[in-house]
Amino acid sequence: MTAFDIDKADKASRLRASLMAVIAVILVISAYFGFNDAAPGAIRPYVRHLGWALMIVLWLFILATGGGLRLGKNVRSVMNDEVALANRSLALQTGFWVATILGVALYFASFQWDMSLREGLRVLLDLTIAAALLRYAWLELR
Amino acid sequence: MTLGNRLLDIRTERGLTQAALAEAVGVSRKTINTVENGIFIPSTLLALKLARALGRPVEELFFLTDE
Repeated sequence: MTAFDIDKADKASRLRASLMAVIAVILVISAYFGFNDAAPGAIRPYVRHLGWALMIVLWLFILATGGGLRLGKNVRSVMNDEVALANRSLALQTGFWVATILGVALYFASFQWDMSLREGLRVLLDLTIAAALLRYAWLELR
Repeated sequence: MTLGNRLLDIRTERGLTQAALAEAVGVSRKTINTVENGIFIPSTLLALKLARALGRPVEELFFLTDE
């Protein structure tokens, strides 16, 4: 382990946390459009749905593994040291509670408003992952 | 009862920066910082690695407080 690895890992960790905060905001906006099914008309629906699914899978993967696969074993091990793992664990707990509470809220909201399964799932996934990413970003950047 | 530490004092006494200690232990600078400030309680493994890197027994680095 060299000073260069530590420095590179610190910079990559900060970048990862900042990107997570940005993606969380994008997911909240995506939840709004998903709920109203009113995304910009210029984008074909299948491209929009595929793009959304890819974004969800990518950030779930980064949440699960820490990402940084191109950075080498040493840098990755520093990026995912025990503080990062503890922060990730807290972020996943936040995601679990948001998903559960939101699931109950959407269940009751469906009695009041017409909502397709797709719309409900999109809101649930967007806001759950946004909450987990935001918590992780906050813990890493504080 | 909480965990206190003398990591900052002992590290500066030995003339090490957070980055140098992080390099010696193989963790991020943020980890050293959060342990020093009592934000994060390290695992036994990390506490022992810190003790070895600083050349002190682990109980000299970490102690229990009555707060």
